[in-house]
Amino acid sequence: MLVVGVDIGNSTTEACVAELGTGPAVYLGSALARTTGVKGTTENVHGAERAIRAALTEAGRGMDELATVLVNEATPVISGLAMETITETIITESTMIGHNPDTPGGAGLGVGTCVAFAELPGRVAGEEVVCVIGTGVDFEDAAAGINAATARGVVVTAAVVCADDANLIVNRLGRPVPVVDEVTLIERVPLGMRAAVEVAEPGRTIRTLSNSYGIATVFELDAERTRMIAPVARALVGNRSAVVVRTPAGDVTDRRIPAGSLTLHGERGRRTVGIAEGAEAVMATVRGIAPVIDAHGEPGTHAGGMISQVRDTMSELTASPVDEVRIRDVLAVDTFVPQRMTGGLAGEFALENAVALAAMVRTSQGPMALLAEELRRALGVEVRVGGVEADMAVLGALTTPGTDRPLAVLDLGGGSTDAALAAGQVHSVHLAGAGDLVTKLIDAELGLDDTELAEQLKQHPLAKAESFFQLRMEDGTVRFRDEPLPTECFARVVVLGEHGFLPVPTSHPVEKIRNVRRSAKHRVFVVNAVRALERIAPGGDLRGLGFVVVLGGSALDFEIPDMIAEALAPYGIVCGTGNVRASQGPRNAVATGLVTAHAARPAEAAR
Amino acid sequence: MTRPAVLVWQHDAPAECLRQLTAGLEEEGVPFLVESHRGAAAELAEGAAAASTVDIGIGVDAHGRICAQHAKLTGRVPLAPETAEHARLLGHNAARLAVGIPLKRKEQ
Repeated sequence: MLVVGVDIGNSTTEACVAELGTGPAVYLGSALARTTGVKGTTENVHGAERAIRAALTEAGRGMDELATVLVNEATPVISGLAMETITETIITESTMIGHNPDTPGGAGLGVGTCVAFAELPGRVAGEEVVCVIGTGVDFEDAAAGINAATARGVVVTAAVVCADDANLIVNRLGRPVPVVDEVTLIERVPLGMRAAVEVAEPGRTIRTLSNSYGIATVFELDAERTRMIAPVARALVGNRSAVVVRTPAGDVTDRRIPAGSLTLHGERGRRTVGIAEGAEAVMATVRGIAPVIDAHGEPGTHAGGMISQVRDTMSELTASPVDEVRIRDVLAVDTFVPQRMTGGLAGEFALENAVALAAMVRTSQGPMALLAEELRRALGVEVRVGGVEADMAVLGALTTPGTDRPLAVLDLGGGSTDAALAAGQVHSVHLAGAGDLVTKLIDAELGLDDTELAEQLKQHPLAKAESFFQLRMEDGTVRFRDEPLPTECFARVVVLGEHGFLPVPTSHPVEKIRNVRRSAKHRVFVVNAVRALERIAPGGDLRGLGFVVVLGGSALDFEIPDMIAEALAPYGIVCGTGNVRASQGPRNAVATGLVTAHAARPAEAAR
Repeated sequence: MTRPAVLVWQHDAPAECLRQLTAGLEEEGVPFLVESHRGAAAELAEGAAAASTVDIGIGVDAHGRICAQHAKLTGRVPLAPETAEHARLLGHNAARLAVGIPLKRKEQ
């Protein structure tokens, strides 16, 4: 009797075809297809059909030979992600220029009053001036104008330029002074105010303007004003050049943004935690209240909006009232996000503290009967809802060579991380935070604003294009090319993506980008692997687990399974990526489990 | 032994075009030499690249066409064929090719 097991997952639908008879099941073919629509709804039929047909083709059998289609109880999982920035650096009255252009000119510190280039002829001898050169002034004229003023006795101590002309101007000055260029919003430089311009030698960083006391010395500030200027100094640390303009009414302030609070409901009560307190505080509250029965975010905040949306989507999907939908898990991760500074004169970015939140809701009600009926109609074959997903996953995982009970399954998906333990009864748990959160962290921390690039960066290794023909991989080895690399890749870090090289549009070195990638995977999957296993392990002790099999799409990642195995090593458990039926890797576990379970039903097998 | 320099070979190039081109090179801090030769931008660039101690050559012709070329890539399409209005940007990018840092994009 020919059967097919179908596992409808959140992102992928997998199928396997098997011949059942008196002996053990003979597996003939497997396939996967993208899940169509939200898992657990009738829209899944298209994806399921595609997977079934592909598996049959591989098996070399036809739809007419199929006796039964076995489908898992696909319960919908809705997950959401939100990012809450909890600090913000604001410059008021444009007191700082810290964009760190590539080619500043001159070196040293220059202090004077901001004077527009056009006004230079009007200044008198002895005046200390910082010349502000706007758009449309040719570099030859700029240099000539400064030299002329200097000849008359005006002390031009530095210059600030809109165009990328610093070196061109400095090279033509009688006496070189520090010049900061590429100031895009030059018209916002407050003229008539006292300013300090500092440029360090090539390869070095500024020493005075990145030091609160340095700024205090230059502008003769008292202690109170020095305290207020401290965020400016902090923002300029590591720069090769900077400008600080003393404006009486405003200063740079960083403030903690009210990021709102999260209320977690447990069996014995509820606790509220401010997201601004950071991920550790949030997760401590989650642990304290566990098991989480529900969660709410403060209305008007990103987190609040995201949690409401997750709830609304599920309510719509299962046609149940909104207040009956329960958020079962929340994961908070600390992160840094480069954000544009409000009031910056040259498009400066600052790294702001942020908290990424993932929330998940799962229900046991899904229109499975409807889905099964739709599928039956589409294929003309009997469809049976096979069993609880966790049970099936364990059965499939047990076909991995070298496994035995007690066996725990860790399923690393896109929207959730799930674990199940088979020790007599099967006990399962579902946690928020998985592949999608990793991608979001990578995207945010590198300031990419490009989900697709972040996704590719997550999945593939990096290399630095050292020349047109040479790539240095992240492990230090070199790869040579026959054809030159495209110019957009020259001297850049590239992702060795599936469809070619993708240049990463940041100025970070390979090591930094690699660390962001690995850290994101660690903060989500290693944390969640341990969290999930702690929930299902007998007595919460991981040492009680014998074998852990890692399954799911994210188990195919080139780093994640190793990171998890390394984190679990101290507990003395055997942990590794599954190899379903010794050939499928971490794929096809539930589909295989469905077939296995069906074959084990004596009465059914005979029908 | 000649010092490292990007070579610019020009044939009756418009003065402003040449000025902007060399400004881009100078701003990036890369040494360069301007020489007069005959030919169209692409061939001038190839010749300059071959003769340059840093393997980068730029050709500018009387029509204001500019080409940058790398000595190891001769025989293929020139790196960056441009018109006079982008002379400054090409100067920057030819310098960046010599230095080994990412290129500037047009919008900047």
